[in-house]
Amino acid sequence: MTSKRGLVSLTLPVMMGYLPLGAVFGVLWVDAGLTWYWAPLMSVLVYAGAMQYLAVGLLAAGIGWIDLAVASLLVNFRHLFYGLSLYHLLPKGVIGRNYFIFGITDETYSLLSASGRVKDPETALWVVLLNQSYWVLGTLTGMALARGLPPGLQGLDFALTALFTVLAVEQIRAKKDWGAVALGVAAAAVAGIWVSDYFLLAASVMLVLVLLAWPERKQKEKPAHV
Amino acid sequence: MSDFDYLQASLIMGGVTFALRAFPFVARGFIAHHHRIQVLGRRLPVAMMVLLTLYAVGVHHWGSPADGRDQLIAVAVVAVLQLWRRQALTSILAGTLVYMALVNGWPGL
Repeated sequence: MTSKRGLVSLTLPVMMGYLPLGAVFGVLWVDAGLTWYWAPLMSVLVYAGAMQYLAVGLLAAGIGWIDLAVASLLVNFRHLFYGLSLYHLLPKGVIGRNYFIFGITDETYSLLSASGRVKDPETALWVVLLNQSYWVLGTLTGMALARGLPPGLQGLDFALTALFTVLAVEQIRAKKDWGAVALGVAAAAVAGIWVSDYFLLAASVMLVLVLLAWPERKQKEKPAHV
Repeated sequence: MSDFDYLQASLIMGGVTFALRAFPFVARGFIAHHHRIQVLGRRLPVAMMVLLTLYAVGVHHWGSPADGRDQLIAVAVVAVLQLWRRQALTSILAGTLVYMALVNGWPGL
C-alpha cells in the first residue's frame, strides 16, 4: 500500500474541503440549539454532508421520520451509482467491506474513481477512514468556533444554499442536460404553488415519476460503465 | 428532542444512505441492465440539485420573500465563481460571506 505520507498528500484536497465544511455543519448545529454532542455523533453515524446540512433545519423544525427517510433517499440518490466503478477496491473482511461502502461520499468517490493512484483495497480503506476523520474533526472545530461568534450574526446557513448551488453547477456542467434543469424548476414551481407544506417531498416524487415515464430513445443510452 | 430521537434520526439517515451506497455492490446487474434506472441515474441528480438549490433559497415561501434579493445575489456569486474557478470551497465561502454581508448590513453594502 501507499506510505502514510502518501496517503495524507493523496487525501489533502478532501481535507481542505472537509475541515471547513464540517466546521460549518458544527456551527449551524450549535446555532440551531440542537443537543451539542449529536453533531459529531451524526458525522460519525451518518457521514453525508448535504443531508447533514439539510437535517439541521429539518430536525430543528421537528420533521417526522418518514419525511427524513425520503429526504435522505432523494438527496443521496446519486450515491446509488458510485459503487459500480469501485468494485475492484472492495475489501475482503466483513467490517472493512461495510465500512468502505459506508464511506463512499461524493469526494471519496471522485478520489477513488478518478485519480488512478489508489489500486488496492487496503489503501482505499485508509482513504475512507482519513476522509471521515477530517469531516468529524471539522465538525468539532465548528462547534468550538460557534461559541465565539457574535450573537445576532445572521446568514451562516446560506452555506447550505451555496453547497447545493455548487453541486447543481457541477451536475449541469458535467451533463449539459437542460431538460432535467427545466424539470427541476418546473417541479419546484408546481410544488411551491400547490403543495408548499410538502414542497421537497412533492417536488422530488414528481421528478422521479416524470423521469420514469418520460419516453426516451433507447439507442442513445451509453452502455453501463461497470 | 431526546437522545432517542437523535439516535433514531441518525440511524434513518445513515441507514438509507448506506443502503444507497451498498446497492450497486449487491445488485450490479440490475443497475447495469435496467434502462430506466440508467435514465434516472443520469437525469435525476441534475434535476434534484436544481430543486434542492431552489428549496434552500426558499422559493416555497413565495408569499414572504424577505431576503429574496440577497439570496439571488449570493447564489449568482456562487454560480459564477464555481463556473470560473471550479473550487467548491472558495465558491461556498465567498457566497456565504457575501450573503452575510448583505443580511447583516455590513459597511459599504
